[in-house]
Amino acid sequence: MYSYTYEEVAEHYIDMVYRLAFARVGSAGYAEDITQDVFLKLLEANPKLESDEHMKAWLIRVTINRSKDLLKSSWFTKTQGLSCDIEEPAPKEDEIYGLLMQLQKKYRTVLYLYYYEEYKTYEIADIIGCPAGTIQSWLDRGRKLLKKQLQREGICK
Amino acid sequence: MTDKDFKNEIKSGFDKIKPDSEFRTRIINREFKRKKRILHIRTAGFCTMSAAAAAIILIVVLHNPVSEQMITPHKNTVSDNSVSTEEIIAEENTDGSKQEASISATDKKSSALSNGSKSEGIKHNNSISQNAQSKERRTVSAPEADEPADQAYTDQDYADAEPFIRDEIGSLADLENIDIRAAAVKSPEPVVSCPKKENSESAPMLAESDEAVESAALTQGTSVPPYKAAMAVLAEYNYNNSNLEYYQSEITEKVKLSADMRYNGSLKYESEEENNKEYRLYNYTGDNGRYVNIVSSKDTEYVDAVITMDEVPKSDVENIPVENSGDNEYFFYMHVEDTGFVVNSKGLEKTENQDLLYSLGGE
Repeated sequence: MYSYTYEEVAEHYIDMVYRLAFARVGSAGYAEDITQDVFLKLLEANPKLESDEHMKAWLIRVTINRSKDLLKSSWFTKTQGLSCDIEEPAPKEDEIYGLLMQLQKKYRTVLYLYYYEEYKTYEIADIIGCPAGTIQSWLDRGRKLLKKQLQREGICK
Repeated sequence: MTDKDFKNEIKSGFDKIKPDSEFRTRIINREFKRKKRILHIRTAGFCTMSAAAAAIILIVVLHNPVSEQMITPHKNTVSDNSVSTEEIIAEENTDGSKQEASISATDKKSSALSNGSKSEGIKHNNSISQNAQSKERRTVSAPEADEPADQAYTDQDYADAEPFIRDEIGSLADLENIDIRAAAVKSPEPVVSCPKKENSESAPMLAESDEAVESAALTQGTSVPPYKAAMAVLAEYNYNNSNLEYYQSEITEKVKLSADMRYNGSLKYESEEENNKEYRLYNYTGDNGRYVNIVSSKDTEYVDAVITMDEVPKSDVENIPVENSGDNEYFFYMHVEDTGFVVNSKGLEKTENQDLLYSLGGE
């Protein structure tokens, strides 16, 4: 059985959880809310897991679920963030970060899990709870859209 | 750009997303705080103001001797002037009767203080206040279990359904050869199951589609048409279930295909997350495994991106971009008026593809 302490896990995975949450909701404030929820859940649930990889997958899944809850909530759909949200880094249009943020969140999420966390499409399908074909389709579309944007910005030819 | 470069670019982009160091330290040190949502306006501002106003009214009313008399059963709590608003609210939450009593007291007190028309407004504020407070409590309390939804189906269920839902756009035609058994994973009857949803409009449509299925079964000699099996699985797995329905449109009238190509029905679906991005899938199958899938959408972002990509080859038909995935299967990308089309055909002759594309283009 995988043994861990909260501090170890939080230290190791907080960036991943925050990045994923940010990719899903596109706001630093909401990403922090979700991150806090996820680690609070970790403390409460204290899941018994087999390995570090399982812990990672568990955290990703809870983050995705939390993001879904937030995106569906009436609060999220009926409010609008102020443009002066100073916590968010200002994306520059000519940077890859800004281009990623312009993508739809489903593409962004899949690109993050595939390229950054290096999950396979069937693993992402399992985590997100969508058919693998859908994930492949989103990945393909996200890649094409991003490449197109990169070409337009002159970042690649 | 190589795949490796592309991957590095994406990584560098995501690397820029990092939590604030103070926040990071706080989480690691188990210091959880209330959520930062005061930076939001519109409804948030209205609710905050309403909640504050209602809280003040509540405190004033609860501290008033008149209201004490009205809420006699809970006098002990209310008469304690030192109790905080949050404690009062917390107690109310655990005792529904008290909550009602408080509301009643507030309303009655409001009536005593003002005329009848004002009491309605105050009552409304109370309602908003309690909703807002209830919401606030939810946000700071421990997260509720959200895993059950994920555990509703076993891995085996997913494995069984995998062939069907592997590609919700492109593979419906392949389903003819797949055992229908998996279509009814959760249903004892080999008939389509529908997502249970109150006020759903799918019921009459389903009935209509059942007739269509029986008719198709008689003519084709199969028990359940493959497209319906796929829909059953999609519905069973709660995938885009709110928008699954049979759909007819002018597309089916203007599409020009060979006589052997049969229209098998359509799917209309939306992404869960981007509600206004609706997609419609029209499926036709013909002899010898030939098929055509037409995906249309008002979201033209993807099609536009492909159309303007230099590396995607152009077809002989009006230079429409086309991708050949081998085995005589093609993907055409078109933007006609305000609609984006991805046409996926397999086994069609060049002239058939040409006629199809022209017919979609309105010629």
